[in-house]
Amino acid sequence: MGRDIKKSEVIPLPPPVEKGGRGDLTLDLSVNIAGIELKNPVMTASGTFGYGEEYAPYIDLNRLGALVVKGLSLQPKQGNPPPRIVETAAGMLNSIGLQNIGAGVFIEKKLPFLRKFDTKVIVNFFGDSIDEYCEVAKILDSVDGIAGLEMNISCPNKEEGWLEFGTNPDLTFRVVNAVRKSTRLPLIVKLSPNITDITIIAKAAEDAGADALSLINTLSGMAVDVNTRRPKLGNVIGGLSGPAIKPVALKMVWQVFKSVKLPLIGIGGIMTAEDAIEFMIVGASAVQVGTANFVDPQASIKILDGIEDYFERNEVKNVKDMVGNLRV
Amino acid sequence: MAKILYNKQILPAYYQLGIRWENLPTIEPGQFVMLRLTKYIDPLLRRPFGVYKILGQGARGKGQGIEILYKVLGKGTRLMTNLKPDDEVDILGPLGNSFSAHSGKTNVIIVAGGIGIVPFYLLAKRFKKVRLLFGGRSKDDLPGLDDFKKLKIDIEVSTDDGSRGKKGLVTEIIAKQLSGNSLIYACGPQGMLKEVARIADKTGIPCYVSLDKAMACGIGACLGCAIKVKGQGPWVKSQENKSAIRNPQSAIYKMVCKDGPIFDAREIVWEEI
Ligand SMILES: Cc1cc2nc3c(=O)[nH]c(=O)nc-3n(C[C@H](O)[C@H](O)[C@H](O)COP(=O)(O)OP(=O)(O)OC[C@H]3O[C@@H](n4cnc5c(N)ncnc54)[C@H](O)[C@@H]3O)c2cc1C
Ligand SMILES: Cc1cc2nc3c(=O)[nH]c(=O)nc-3n(C[C@H](O)[C@H](O)[C@H](O)COP(=O)(O)O)c2cc1C
Ligand code: FES
Repeated sequence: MGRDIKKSEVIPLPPPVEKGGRGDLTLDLSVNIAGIELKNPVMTASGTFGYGEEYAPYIDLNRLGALVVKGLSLQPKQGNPPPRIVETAAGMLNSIGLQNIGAGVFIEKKLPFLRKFDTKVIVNFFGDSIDEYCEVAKILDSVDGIAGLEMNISCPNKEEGWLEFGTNPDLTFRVVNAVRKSTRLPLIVKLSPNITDITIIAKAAEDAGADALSLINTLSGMAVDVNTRRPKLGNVIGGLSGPAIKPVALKMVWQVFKSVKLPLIGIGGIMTAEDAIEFMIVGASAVQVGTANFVDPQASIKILDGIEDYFERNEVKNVKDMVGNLRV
Repeated sequence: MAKILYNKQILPAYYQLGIRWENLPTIEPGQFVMLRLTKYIDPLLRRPFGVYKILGQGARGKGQGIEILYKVLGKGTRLMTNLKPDDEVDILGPLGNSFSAHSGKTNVIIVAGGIGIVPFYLLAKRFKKVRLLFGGRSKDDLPGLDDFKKLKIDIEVSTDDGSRGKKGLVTEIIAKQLSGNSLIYACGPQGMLKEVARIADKTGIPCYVSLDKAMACGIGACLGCAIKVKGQGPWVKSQENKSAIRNPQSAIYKMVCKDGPIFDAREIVWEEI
């Protein structure tokens, strides 16, 4: 039995003590990646945000650090037969097949709208040969309103047995090196996770002249309907994204962070600010929000707000102080 | 966030879900919403549902909410059965296009299969005279039939097992309803739609179908809900049956969420649906 509390000991709480507040801590979320000055580290991932305009009615695009548009090729591309998407445990598979309107139509029809916003536009692109990569890069190079390029190297090379560029260090080096010579724009190389050692590809891209790396693209996967015994995707296999892939993505960012000097953009299953900060801690200077946009069109903005809160609460003064500060 | 008003089981596999919606936007017949069913990550994606009714709409009133009529199918819809009054759901919408009408086509025929009835409650109210052909597997697959009876429209019912109405497929009773001034609207299982489209094509009657494809974004951004449509070239008469076709060589993909969910049946490449 505890001692009785005497009446006189119980008093009301004192009023709040005036503190300096947060005024002394000016929060700076800006970050420079590959020479692109971003006002904050939150971007939207390619293929999950259309050409930006689709989301304009739902979120203030001006708040984003950058938006990355759907991957472009030289000519418009039709994409794969349906069904193209299927939900899986805490994730989704897609086999869109890189359907896009082509670089030329993008510049003419979509870019003028994006120029109206105070947000960096990063153009994701790909090709099925080194020449196509270079040609797309050249077309985009001379255009006003594009802050940088993101090269998707998870694409098959028609000239060498449809081997994916991003699964072979020699091919990666050659395609990145050739593109590097075709554009003056900041060049981000987006890595595929479907390889045995991602650091080898990362180094090849670094040696070839990439300014930054983004990772990861979707993990290759499939799903089957047991009643019909048919694949759930028209293309049989597709790419897995969403919360299910976050642990894999984090590990790969951490590995790459330890093996190259380039700034990294973390991608994979980011749904919340905490997820984004995890990526910073393992070495990402910025993040891309993908599948989360489908679940909540406001996701990227909420993540940004949450990062601000975290920085304030933990008195983090700028993004650099968070990057790669994993305690191991 | 929107509050649940009610969640009533009307048939073993079907529920009516009332949702309060502040500042209800204008919703056209055939449009849909994407519902986020949990704030957690499983099920991850939103699910598309047609708007069945506008709630609390006076003569000129804006309406205070919507009713969704849903069929329990998998994880997401099973989770929906647990929703209680005052629970909150996240609604995105209204999304998608609406139906077109044709002047002079006064014999309006709606063909619905099971849960495919959903887009037609709002649509039926737009016509003075309309006939509903409603098919289901059994009497337990005719959701909303009572609502349509109250609209005082012509209704013909068929079930596969004969437990209500005529025994057989709903598509078997279309032919005798058709005339030169007919116009068909259809929604239901793919097999049914294909057959309706074939009949409409053969008889040269305009036909609009509401299609169902799995969706992720619902706003035309992910390119996941693709459907193959014939090319955009001029209409030509097909050799064998004189129906109008477009050059099949120039087929392209359209998105059910943004270009649809309602399509001119002639546009669809039915072999690849
Ligand atoms: C524009 C549009 C409007 C719709 N309106 C309604 C409506 O008003 N009422 C209603 O009950 N349903 C409607 N649907 C269908 C509804 O979206 C699906 O039934 C629902 O998403 C299934 O979710 P689930 O989690 O229960 O099933 P899941 O667990 O996702 O799937 C269970 C099973 O259903 C299959 N499936 C999944 N999604 C679909 C789909 N979209 N169509 C057919 N099969 C599917 C899966 O392959 C699986 O076999 C509509 C769909 C679209 C595209
Ligand atoms: C529907 C869909 C389409 C995508 N399209 C592209 C693309 O065109 N180019 C590309 O580099 N990545 C594409 N991605 C990959 C994403 O940009 C991202 O790397 C991946 O989805 C992992 O992030 P997430 O888990 O946050 O979605 C696509 C992903 C999805 C889900
Ligand atoms: S669901 Fe994303 S484009 Fe239709």
